[in-house]
Amino acid sequence: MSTFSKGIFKENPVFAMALGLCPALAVTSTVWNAIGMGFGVIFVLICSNIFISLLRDFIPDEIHIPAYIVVIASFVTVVELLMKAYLPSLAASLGIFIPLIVVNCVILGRAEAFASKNSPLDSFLDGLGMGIGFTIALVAIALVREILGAGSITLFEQGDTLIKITLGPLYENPIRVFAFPAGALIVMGYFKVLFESLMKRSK
Amino acid sequence: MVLNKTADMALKLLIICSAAAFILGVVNALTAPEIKKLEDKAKSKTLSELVSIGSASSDREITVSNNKYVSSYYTIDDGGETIGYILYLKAKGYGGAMTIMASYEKDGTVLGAKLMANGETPGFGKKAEKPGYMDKFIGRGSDNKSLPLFSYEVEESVDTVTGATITFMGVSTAIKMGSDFVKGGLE
Repeated sequence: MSTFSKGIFKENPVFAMALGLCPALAVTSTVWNAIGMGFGVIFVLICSNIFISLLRDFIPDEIHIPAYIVVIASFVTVVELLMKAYLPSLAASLGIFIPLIVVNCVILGRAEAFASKNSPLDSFLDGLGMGIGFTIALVAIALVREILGAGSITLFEQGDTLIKITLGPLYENPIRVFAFPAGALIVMGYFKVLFESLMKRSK
Repeated sequence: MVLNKTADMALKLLIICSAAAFILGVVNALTAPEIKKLEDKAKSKTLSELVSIGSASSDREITVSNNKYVSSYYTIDDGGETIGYILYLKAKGYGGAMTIMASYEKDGTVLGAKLMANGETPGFGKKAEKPGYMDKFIGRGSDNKSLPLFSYEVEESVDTVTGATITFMGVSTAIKMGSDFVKGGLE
């Protein structure tokens, strides 16, 4: 159980370990983007963790990085193809950041630090926990950024279906800086402080 | 012994790679028709959006091979007469190649344009996909009304996107080259 929950709290990839910051800053302009990115990462993380754990005795030590990258890149391509076919507008708005999941250090980091030393079941739980922790972090940042920076909350967007909550005066006059990368860093900083203080208090 | 070890590693990597390639092949076979369907739908939808008078049929695409910017074009017909062209343009953006579909009158005036596939940054260059973005090109392009090539040449108060200069340059260059292509008698 602690294998699963440590990814969400104690070792949250974004807030505690500061891993995977590039997508955390880049795609968190709307909540829907963050959700989409989060699920993509959860899928890749679980699959690559399981496979790398299964192959951990098969892969020679000297070439473990290229082998991991091949496994991870394959799953990322699977995600990209599926998204393009069935969620085209999400694929369009995430754009280059889907293929960039390959170099998201959360995934390679977990493969290296956890999956290569533990059983498939533990690796699955680790992947799920880390993935959910990552998604929660992304959605939290996106929620603050979208409310302040655009005055809206986009929950779902596909074709003609659009679930979007707009918040009156903020929608008319949003605080634009939060829609930009600088705003993402500011929000990220506040979240990290909040997270650290909560962690300290719980000790 | 050393050779054996190297061969062993190479073999194992080869096995992993072929398994990965096989899986991707299967997924691609499943998703490719779906993606193609979506692309065709977007293409024919854009074709009808870009034409206000006359019609362009999506199955009459003429490929251009010797132009850096124009990859193919369609003719717009009205009562058996060609009144304009829709060009499929290749442009270079901040995030790599972009494709633009633009319709022109015979004298090179832009009737409409739309940014199709692109890898622009969400929130910045990606805004060029929005409907109003191309308004600054529409109605320009004939010999006495030139197209804007830089964003400061746009006099009207239009919504240019701060921080997305490269996208604008890519779009404007491609649209201008398309206009020249039409003016030059499709060459």
